[in-house]
Amino acid sequence: MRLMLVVGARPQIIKSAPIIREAKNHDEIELQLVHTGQHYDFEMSKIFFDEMTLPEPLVNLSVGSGTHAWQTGNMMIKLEKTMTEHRPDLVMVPGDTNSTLAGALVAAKLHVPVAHVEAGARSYDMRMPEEVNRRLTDHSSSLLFAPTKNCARNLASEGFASKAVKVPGDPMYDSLLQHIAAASRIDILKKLGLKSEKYAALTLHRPENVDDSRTLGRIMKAIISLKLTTVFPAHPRTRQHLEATGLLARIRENAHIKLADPLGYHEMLQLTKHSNMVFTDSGGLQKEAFWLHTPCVTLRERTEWIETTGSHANILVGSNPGKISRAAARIMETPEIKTKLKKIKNPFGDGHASQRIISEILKSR
Amino acid sequence: MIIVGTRPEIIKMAPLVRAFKKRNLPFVFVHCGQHYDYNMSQQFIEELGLPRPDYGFKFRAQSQGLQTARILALAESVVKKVKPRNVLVEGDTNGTLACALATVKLNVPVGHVEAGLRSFDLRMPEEHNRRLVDHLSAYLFAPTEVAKANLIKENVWGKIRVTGNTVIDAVAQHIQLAREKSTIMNRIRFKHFALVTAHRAENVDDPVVLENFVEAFTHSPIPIVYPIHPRSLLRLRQQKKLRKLSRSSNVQLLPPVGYFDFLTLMKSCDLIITDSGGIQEEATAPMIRKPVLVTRLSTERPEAVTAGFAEVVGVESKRLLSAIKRILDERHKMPTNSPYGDGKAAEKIVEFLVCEGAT
Repeated sequence: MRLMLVVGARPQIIKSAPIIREAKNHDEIELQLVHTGQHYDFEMSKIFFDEMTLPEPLVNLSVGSGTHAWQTGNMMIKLEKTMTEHRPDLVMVPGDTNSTLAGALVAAKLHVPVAHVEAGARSYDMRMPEEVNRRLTDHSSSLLFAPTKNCARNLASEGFASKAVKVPGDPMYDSLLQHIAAASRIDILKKLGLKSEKYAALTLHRPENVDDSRTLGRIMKAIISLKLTTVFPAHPRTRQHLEATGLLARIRENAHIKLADPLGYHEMLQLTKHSNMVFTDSGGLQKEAFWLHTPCVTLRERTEWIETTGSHANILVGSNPGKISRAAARIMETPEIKTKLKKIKNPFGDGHASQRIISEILKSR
Repeated sequence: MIIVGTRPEIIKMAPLVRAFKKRNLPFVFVHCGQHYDYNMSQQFIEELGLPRPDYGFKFRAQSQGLQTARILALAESVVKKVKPRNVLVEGDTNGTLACALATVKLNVPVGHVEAGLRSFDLRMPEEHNRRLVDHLSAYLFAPTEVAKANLIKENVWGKIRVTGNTVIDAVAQHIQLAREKSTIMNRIRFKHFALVTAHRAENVDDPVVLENFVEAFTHSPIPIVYPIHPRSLLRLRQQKKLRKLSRSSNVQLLPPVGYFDFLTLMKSCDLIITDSGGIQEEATAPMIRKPVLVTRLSTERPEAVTAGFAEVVGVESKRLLSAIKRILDERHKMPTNSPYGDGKAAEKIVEFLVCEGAT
């Protein structure tokens, strides 16, 4: 069977890695890996592919960044050609990016069945482009792989037939388990001059936080005022905005905020594992912190990973400075917090999601 | 902002354009169309007495992907420029989906006119389009309670209002124009006739279905008037069935007819045989009220069936013939009310938008 896997953004590559590895164990699967080039061209993300020990994509579309409509449209044009040429039996799309949606739309229009990995996640905030992408991708799919029971319930509430929805677990968790040993061999703490459990980590990339200078300023001032050693691996776009709004100078005046270049997957896992807490607006990092028993403060009003918010493991604060400092204080004041978080049941499966996904795909033929 | 593309969209959005004008509400009218019928659509907009579109974009596209991509980019640029309070789209074409998707990504609310229709046949591209548009719309204008129930079952996030279908408004508003403009009845050979349309690919591209149609039409107990699409004509010629059909004294083939001629034919016929969705609705309008035989296996408009206007008969000649016979014998008693509303759908949509502060 020809299985086409469409990826573009980094988190999708993380989610896909264990699926790609599992697919290799089955001779009957011919894997067609397609890289849309949504964030970076393949050449630029090659380091990342090497880190994950992934094969080179069959096709690189090099679409590049642009507005949502422009980017989605261009991906559709190129994906239509690719799918017509390589004639996959099934198109698999992970996550919730424009690459995900473009892949699903084109396949559905060409009557190729679509399998969505990470189906059923809902933040119920339609201002987030990812929410639009995942809803439309789900409604273009005939096979929906929900990472948790809660995601499966969301799909049931939208009228999906139960036989179309599977709950294999989250391949992103598989990925974490497969890479955590390699991650622990990386000396990122030393490189950044950090001591285990004596720092926080911060990531910011969402347009509603980064593009609006007032929101960005509010968040940064709140974090600076915590007086916690905080590592801030900044996305190039985020750095641009910090520079433009004069916040970069302000950060440099505060030695406890350590600005860093974007990190690799292993480095980020290691950094998260040893931090006291992470501040983030990313979806994936909320889950990774949860799996590594690190408390998470989410700089968003809503999350699609409601499963991580039990027992205050993940606290939603938006961009409200008062909430940010109260959440941080609460975490610092809770003794043995990581031991407590270890006791929370993991609803994202047992680390074998990819095996189940591949076996369902083979059954679906 | 009101966006129209295909001819059915223009017809169904016309009452909304008029309702905005009547209330003196500001609106921007956008026409997006395939290059080959762009000028004809512009002309059609004029014939309906609608204002000239503020923006028109025409595109040329060979494939669905290319088409969607072009409209995505064009719609994004016009929504960015105009910054409307809302964007109203109609129906279930690739254009509808592309305009809605570009709009929602700019955080402008989308209103879907004719929301909640379902054939539950995902092989139809329209089914995919309308489902996605429903799931990204902030306002869903469902023509009927059935459509509303479909939307509730899918737990769409937007607000649902049952307004009736604007096509009923359109028939009432346009039948007068048809009376003035159409001379088609001078050319019709029969006093009583069944009006036929067939355009769906799964019908006209299938030689077996065409064979059944030719058989049924040439043996029909009531003469057939069939405005025929060039593509169907070509298929019939390829299958060597055109001659049998065109030589039958029971059948009158017509070149494709305009909207006003078609309304007149609908008003004058005894029954309608069609695979079109929109015609199933128009047939129930108080000014038309005609029985419809649906030559498909499923319909996304079950209300016309339930109300007693339409029957899904499939594509076999035997079943089609016996259905025609039954309708003629029964002297079919037609229901009075359309299941698609009272012809005030556009008013209700505008009223809702005003209440929401979205105009």
